Amino acid sequence: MDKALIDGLIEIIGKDAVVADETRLMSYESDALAMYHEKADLVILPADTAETAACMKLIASFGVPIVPRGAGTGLTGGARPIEGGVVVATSRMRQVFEVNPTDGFARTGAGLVNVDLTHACEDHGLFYAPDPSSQRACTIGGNVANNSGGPHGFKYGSTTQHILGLVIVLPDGEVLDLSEPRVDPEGVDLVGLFVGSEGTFGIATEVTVKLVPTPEVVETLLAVYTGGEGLSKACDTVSEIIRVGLEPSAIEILDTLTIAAVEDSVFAAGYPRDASAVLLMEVEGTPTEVQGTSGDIMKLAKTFGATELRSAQTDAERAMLWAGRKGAFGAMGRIAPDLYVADAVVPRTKLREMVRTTVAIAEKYQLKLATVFHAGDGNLHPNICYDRRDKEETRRVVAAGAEILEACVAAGGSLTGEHGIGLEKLAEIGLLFSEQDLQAMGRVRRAWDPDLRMNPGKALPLRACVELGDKPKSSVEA
Amino acid sequence: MHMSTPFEQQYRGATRDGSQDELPVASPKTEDETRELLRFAAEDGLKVLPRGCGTSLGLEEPRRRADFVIDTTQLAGVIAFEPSDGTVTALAGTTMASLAELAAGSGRRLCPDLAHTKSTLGGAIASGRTGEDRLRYGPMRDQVLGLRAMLSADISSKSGGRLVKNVAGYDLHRAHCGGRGQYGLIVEATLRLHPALPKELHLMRRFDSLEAAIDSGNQILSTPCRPLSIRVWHNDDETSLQVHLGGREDVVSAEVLLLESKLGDLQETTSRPLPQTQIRLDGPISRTIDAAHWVEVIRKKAGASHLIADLGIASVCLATTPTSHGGSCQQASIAALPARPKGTDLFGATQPGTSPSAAIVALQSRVATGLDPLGIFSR
Repeated sequence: MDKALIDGLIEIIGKDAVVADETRLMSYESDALAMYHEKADLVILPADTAETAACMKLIASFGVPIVPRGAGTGLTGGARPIEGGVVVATSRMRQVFEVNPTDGFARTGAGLVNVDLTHACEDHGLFYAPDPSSQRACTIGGNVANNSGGPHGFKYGSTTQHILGLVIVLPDGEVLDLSEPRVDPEGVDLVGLFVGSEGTFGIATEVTVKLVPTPEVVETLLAVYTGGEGLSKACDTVSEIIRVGLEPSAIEILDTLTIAAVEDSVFAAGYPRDASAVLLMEVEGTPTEVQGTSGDIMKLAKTFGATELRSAQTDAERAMLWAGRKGAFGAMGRIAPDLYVADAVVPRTKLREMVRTTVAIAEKYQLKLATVFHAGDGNLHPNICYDRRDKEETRRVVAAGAEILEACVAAGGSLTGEHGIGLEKLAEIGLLFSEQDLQAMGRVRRAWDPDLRMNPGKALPLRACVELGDKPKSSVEA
Repeated sequence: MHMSTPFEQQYRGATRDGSQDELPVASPKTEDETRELLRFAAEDGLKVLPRGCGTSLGLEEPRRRADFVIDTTQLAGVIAFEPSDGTVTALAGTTMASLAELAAGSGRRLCPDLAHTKSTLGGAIASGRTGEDRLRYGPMRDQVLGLRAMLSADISSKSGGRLVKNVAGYDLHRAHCGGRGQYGLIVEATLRLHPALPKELHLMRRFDSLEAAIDSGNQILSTPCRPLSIRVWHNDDETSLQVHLGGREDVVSAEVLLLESKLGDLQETTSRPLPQTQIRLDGPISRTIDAAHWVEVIRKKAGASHLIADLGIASVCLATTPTSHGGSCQQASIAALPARPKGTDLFGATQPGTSPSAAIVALQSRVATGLDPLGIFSR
């Protein structure tokens, strides 16, 4: 890394906000997909939009690639460098600038941790709905980059439906102030395009989000399934809930290996250890609404083979049931040191079939599969537990992951429901989009980042962004 | 160039300044015919204005250069209907009303619920139409799960998919939603379907003043009720508040009791259709500003026959009289504003000093060029 660039950045944001020593840089080698790691040349932690803009302008003058990063909880390798470059982390931008309870929005710094936003507005009877499992660590800016979902996305939708405005720093340091909450976009919907662009368009430094009213009543339900067909029965229950039009706010499935890992961990939720699957659901609304919908769901679960039905009786019990779900990925550390989290989506009518397919693929490759997923959205998370120090096992994990994705796409599904393409799924994106589709996306990418310095090698194969005869700044080919 | 799709009609499009444009119209029946038209446009340097059934263009389009219209109404048909999965995919010319009927037949609800029965899928997306049910179900862009557009004779682009959750690739469909056909011709799209509502009810109460009606409507927003719409109707003779409830029968009954405890007796009524000639302004009823005062100013200065305000989604429709043209009415409305209210949209582009920054305009232009690399579509 050019010393003049490092000195310039120190001058802008101070020495403490520039990470250059080898030991500290190791923290930024990967995101939560530890399978892939690469050292950054430099990490900077600007405190606000102005510092970010000044740094980006300077970095642009050196032609160095930039990798935006929130909390690094992403699961596709999107927040790690490929061939060096500067990682721009937003984790110091934790401000809550405004909570407007009357019109139901808030403006925050991009580095604010997701759950802290809800804490900041709960006194007003409002909350921020997208709730990724990593919500105690992940940042709002990271959620914007990946269009993150979460268990309650079934009712409330993904991040894009909750973003009203952004302040964006472009690769050359120019600041776009699109922070004013708008009913509908004017001209090209730049905010809508930016959400889910995985750090390839610029860096969001401030975010205006929609807040939703805290529901009057919340009921958390657990349906337990046992026996060899338990997981299939849980899937069938979900498909039926969707078919008949019941509207819980969340529908999650955990399989037997996940239950065992959770119950052995600090996230123990009281899930029955002998269950082959549990269906964790939440119903929100008025007392009448919750009572009616919960009753219908319970009846339906029983009809579809649930052997035990529970409703959380206290807030503590409810919190415990959810702690098990949200801590499930962490708990899997008890099964193996590493975890590969697939993020495929399938039509909700094909849950049973596709869950069986993923189990068969894991068996074929002799891998341990722990499944926990957003069943209501058809968003599967087949999690392969493995040890990355075992090269042969790692090779099988990668092969199984690709096969699972291919099977899901073949069934009418998608490669990702909430984690993004990142680095991990670049090879498979052609399963979903034609070369023309990718080139159209590539042209839009170049409109934001003409030099292709933003998060190179992520989200879109580089060939899709390069016009004939162009020579990209980054030599990285996906 | 020989064209298999003749230019058979003349499109008479009203522009914002009140003048009329007359443009030749071609109505392709197939995608191949559409491609041929786009090739013709590219070869001759002509600008294309895509059109659905034309329910929005006249009132909402600013004057922009166009050489001919491609009418998509014959590119119609359902491609995939998955009621159990909650999705429907159709060609752009399919009417929203026919899709709504299809969905209802399988216990599903199509959103937005549009007033105009002829609105097409492509047109509704391109114009970013707001439905009466937006308060509960969100804007049009939240319903679009995926989309395929023709960018030229040889270039098309697809984004999203036929799934309720999917973040693969860039959301290019967000540019086409509300993009008014400036960045491509929408060929097909997939919409999310919602569960049908077992019970729907329209309730109404008259008020003596606009302020009182808006205040009461805003009170509803602070309750646990989740109406599909809270709508204020206002003209010289009448001011009323209309609330559209929907859901399980027991839930709707409980909501009625709650609303009556807040607002007093409510009359059951029928759905009241919007006037055919109306324009929509976004933003003026943000609860942080004195909405009642200035919407009245707008109504009078614009010469609108009456005003319909959708509370909670910050939207106002001005119904125009036959002699009051939509475009000039809109301009008069904007000119009547003393200052740009916070959280507004449309006004930003037209109020002095509140235009988007040069950087935003430049980026929008670059993105538009990326989407429409041959510059075929009228902007």
